[in-house]
Amino acid sequence: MLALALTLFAAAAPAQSGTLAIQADTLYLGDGRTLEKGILLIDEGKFRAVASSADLPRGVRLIQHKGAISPGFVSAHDQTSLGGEATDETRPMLAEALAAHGFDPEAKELRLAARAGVTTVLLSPSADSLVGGQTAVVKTAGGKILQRRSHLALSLSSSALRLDTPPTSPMGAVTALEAEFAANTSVYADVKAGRLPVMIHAVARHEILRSIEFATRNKLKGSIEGAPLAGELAEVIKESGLSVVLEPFTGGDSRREIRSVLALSGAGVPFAFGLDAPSTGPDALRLSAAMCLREGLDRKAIEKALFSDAASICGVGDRVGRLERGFDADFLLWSGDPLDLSSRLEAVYIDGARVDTSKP
Amino acid sequence: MRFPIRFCALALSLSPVSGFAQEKEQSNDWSVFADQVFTSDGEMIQGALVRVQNGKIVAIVPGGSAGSSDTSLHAAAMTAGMIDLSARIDMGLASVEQGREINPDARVANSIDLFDEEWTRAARSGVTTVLANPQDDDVIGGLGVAVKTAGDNSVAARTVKADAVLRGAIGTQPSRRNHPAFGSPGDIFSRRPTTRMGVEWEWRKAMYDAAASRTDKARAYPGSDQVLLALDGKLTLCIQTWSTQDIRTAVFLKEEIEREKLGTPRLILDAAAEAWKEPQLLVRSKVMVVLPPFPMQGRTGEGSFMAWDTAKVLHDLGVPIALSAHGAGAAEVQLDRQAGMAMRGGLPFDAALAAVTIEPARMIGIDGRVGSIAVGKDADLVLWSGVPFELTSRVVGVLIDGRLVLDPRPAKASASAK
Repeated sequence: MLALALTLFAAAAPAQSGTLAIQADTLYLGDGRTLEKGILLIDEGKFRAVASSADLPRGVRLIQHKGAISPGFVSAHDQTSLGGEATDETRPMLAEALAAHGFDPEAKELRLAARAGVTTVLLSPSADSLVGGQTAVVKTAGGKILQRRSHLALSLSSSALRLDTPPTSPMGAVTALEAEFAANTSVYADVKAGRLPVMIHAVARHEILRSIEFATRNKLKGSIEGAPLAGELAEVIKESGLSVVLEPFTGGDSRREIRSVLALSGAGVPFAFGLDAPSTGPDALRLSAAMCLREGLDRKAIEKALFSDAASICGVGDRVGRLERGFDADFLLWSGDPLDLSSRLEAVYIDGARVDTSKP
Repeated sequence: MRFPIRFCALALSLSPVSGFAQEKEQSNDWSVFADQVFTSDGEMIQGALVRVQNGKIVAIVPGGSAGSSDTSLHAAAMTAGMIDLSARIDMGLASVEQGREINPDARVANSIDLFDEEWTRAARSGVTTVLANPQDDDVIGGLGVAVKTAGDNSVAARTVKADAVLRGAIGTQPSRRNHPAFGSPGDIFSRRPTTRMGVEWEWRKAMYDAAASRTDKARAYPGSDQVLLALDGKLTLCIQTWSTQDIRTAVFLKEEIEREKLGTPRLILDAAAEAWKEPQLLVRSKVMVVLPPFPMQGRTGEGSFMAWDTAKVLHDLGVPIALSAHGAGAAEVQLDRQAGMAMRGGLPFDAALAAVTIEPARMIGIDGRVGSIAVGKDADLVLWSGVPFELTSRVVGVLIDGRLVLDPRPAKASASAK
């Protein structure tokens, strides 16, 4: 009956960002806290109230949701909608390139992401360039670009090295990067001043160390991305002040990687997952979270990784990733606990509007 | 920058997860006693205690006792940690920037993979400091770095001397695989030298352009500042030259630079297998030599021939020599064995010990920190089961910066139960 009421409401206002009030059994606030029988009041695409009781505006009916509500998932490294255009192969370094200009708001992959509850993605140039360009944060429905310039995307992994164009070696890559940073163009000036964080792709542990030493030498802020075994260097990463964006687990024997996540969490390093969609399906976020829980990761830590910390790492932690007054009304209606893989995602809202998830 | 001790344990552990479990703080303060202490300062002390605190040697007490506490170590003999200026811990093409032939601004420190097991292997064989150099597929490969073989998970923290040498090669290695620009002119092998003459020309051009850049900035190129430092003798040149003709080329180049008053380079010839053939040339030009591992059948790299008495011949003439193992993993060719083989060719024990400790340290200017057992120096110590370099002796204990890398104590019952 309650589900029916919800369906009726959705049918009556399919894409209106009008005023809406919903009460759920449990609100997962996104930063690890929960609120039982909490109420969300949504108006003009924002949360106006997140509380256990609220004075509803006249004419607004409180919808009862039997189940849970969480913020939308945030994928902290993604290529969704960039198509095959995530690397400009003509130049190893293209700091001024903006992923925001590769964003296709009509891309089908965005619908797939939204349907799985991913509401915000960090679009990043691929790791095939030493300096790929700048990341952007977008919503998966509505075509909104949340932030045009979030990071300078660097890659100190072997995938940025080629034999036909210099640099061909890690040391050549570092030399080239140091020279770029010394040339004080506006982008690098922003990076050095801390206005534009970096997101450095690194895979092997020596690549992670190289990235940390480069970031430390140049006093950079930002994240290491890729890094499946980052946790084995957790204390060093913690000291550097960098955060970590991990690839999701898609099955197979990933216990060493999962223990690495536990070590990161234990050391207090903020981390999140990046789907690198379309190469990984959007359900991998939930699956990864569940696998980490199974290995003993703190529940609050994994919720932060999916929501609030992911948003902060993307540079939009004050706008999405939490059920919080003033934040964008991006939220998910679940039949039960979002991290229970048998729970069904019943509705997706982005900026207060219900996303049509019926289309294939 | 200092990281907690547990990362040392982690680096040495094959299972990183168990490394985290072993967070028990390990003491870095030791009392190390040996029946014979070879200091590398020309002195052998019968029965001495070496005290280690905070990674440094704080006292040497002849006749002292180490006692029998948890922090006391005993062995038949003790030397300073060995130093290999041509350890060649294999980075492969990761240490070759192939975009140019002349890369004086490339720092091999940025290509190091500290998780390569060769580091641990070197450390446990008693080699505590190595000079990491680019692989010699470029004419000037880049800047070598002196690093400890064990320690924190940080190249910077393990560095003994950054930019220790400017490294390059003369001979066939920088020209192999290259070809003239036909067929596929776009590939990187089509513009590089294909002959020894071409390689030498690249060296000469790099040096003359750098010298000219003192007055004409237009002649400067990426890294020419480092070449200038090398010309001025402030940055040691380290050039691979296996054979007589390549040794000659390097020496003639050095002498030409001096004659033309372009500078006064400080030159180390690495892998100079045929240095025994015209040793007077090296004496005349005041060149230092790093010898490659002794070949079992005479012939070694680039077709060169190395005689058994090479080290002795050079030592007798006063040429500074260091021995190297070229990253040899097998016990029979590791650095201690190289010293033994040099002795078999006639090198006295003291000179052999110096050639793997204090002499290489002096060559690259790190003898203030490492290379001998002296108060104030880094606590890099090797413990031996018998007289060092004897075929029947082996390395039983290693300390690097006071951290126990190889434990000489008999395994405890719990640890040995496998």
